[in-house]
Amino acid sequence: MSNSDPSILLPEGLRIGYKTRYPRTTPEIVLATTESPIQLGNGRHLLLARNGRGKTTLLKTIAGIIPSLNGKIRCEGLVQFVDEDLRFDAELKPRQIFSALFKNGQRSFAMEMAERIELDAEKPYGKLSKGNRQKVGLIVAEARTRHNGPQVLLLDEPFSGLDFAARDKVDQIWSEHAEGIVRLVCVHPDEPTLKADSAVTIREGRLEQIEVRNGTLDWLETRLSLN
Amino acid sequence: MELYKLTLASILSRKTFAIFAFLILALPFALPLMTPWESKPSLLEPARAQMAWMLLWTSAIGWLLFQGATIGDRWASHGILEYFKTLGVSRWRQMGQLWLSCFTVFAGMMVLTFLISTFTAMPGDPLEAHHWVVTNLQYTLLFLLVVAPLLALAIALGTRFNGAAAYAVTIGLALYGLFGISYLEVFLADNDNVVLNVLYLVSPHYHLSDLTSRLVFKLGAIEAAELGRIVAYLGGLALLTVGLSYQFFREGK
Repeated sequence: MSNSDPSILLPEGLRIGYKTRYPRTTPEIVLATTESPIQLGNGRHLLLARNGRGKTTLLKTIAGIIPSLNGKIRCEGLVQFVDEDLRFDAELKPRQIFSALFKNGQRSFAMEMAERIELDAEKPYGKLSKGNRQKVGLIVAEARTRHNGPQVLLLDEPFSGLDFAARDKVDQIWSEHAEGIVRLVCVHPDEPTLKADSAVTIREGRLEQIEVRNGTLDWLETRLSLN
Repeated sequence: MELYKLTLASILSRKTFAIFAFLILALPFALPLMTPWESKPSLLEPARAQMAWMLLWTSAIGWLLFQGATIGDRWASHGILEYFKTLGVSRWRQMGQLWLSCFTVFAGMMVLTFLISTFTAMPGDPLEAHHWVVTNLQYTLLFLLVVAPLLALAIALGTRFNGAAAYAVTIGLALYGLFGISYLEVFLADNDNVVLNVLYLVSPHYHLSDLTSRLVFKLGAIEAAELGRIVAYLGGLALLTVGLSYQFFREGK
């Protein structure tokens, strides 16, 4: 791996969770820990766990929004965390959002991607459906990766509300633009069409990396193991 | 400056600023004409200046602080500030960009007010005219020293609490500093209450920035030494307010 390759390193003994307001009785709530280091390099990695197991907390910890309880996460590259709940103002049209956030190349990429995944860039954000709002967040994240240098993209439930056709197109765009980007994508274990280079699971409070054969996860096995 | 551009686009698309800009543009000319000005036409021009500045204060309290409070609230609740945090935009820069986006629009209202007050109400006498321009410039400076930090506070409180609470606190502080203290002053004239005296001492004396009566009664510009003291006081208060705002500012809720 060269210096310009993006990566995420979750060290051994990493603890994620929250500090509480009662340091004497319950100092912290631990959601997950690593027993061995996890290295995520260039490519697409899925983050799988059941509800409330710490998927979003892990993404926020990697992004530096909340501190880890123990251990230091190392990220190489420009980090972007796109929350499932990321929302723009209702009056703003996607085109205005892209114009405000991006210049020339990135802006035209955003408009092209909007066309490809069938997002009406002239419709006010407040009038878009849930799926189409998700598309705006996805486009913002992808357009920013058209920037030189390594990129770390942390996506929290980016496909919730998206139909299968849009999901396939996003999948295709990700495959076309895979170089120099680590995508850690938090999804529910019911997205059997998604390809991945590896998967990170949170199971019984343990963060583990699962090997993926031929770019496809054994979804049934994964689902059963998460139960 | 992406957060600045995004916030500015949001403010412009909401268009509420246009109502206040229109009022600032129209009412200083219209309202004085609704008084019995014919009995003393020379009062018409000072009344225009008075109306222009009153409307600017109203816009600052009614529009600017509200924008700051609600934008702080929305952007923090909607994950926008956390998103920019992950991109490496610091708290200072986030607060500064939100502040600047609100102030960019408000600056237009300030320029309108300055132009209306200075050039459509200027006295004919050259000495009075000179004082008139200087007083308007002094007024603009002092107004900025009060309103700019209050906007930062409204934004910061909005990010930490919610828009309504942030607006209520800043509007309360502004109204108290502008008008409430005068009542306290009247009360203290016949009263030696220590607590109230301390309260008076630590209160934000924003009324020092209100030079409307100085314009209306043509009292002339503030002398340099006195202006320096007022600027030092309001500047210190502004630094304190901005420092507090930074402490309150949060990227997420």
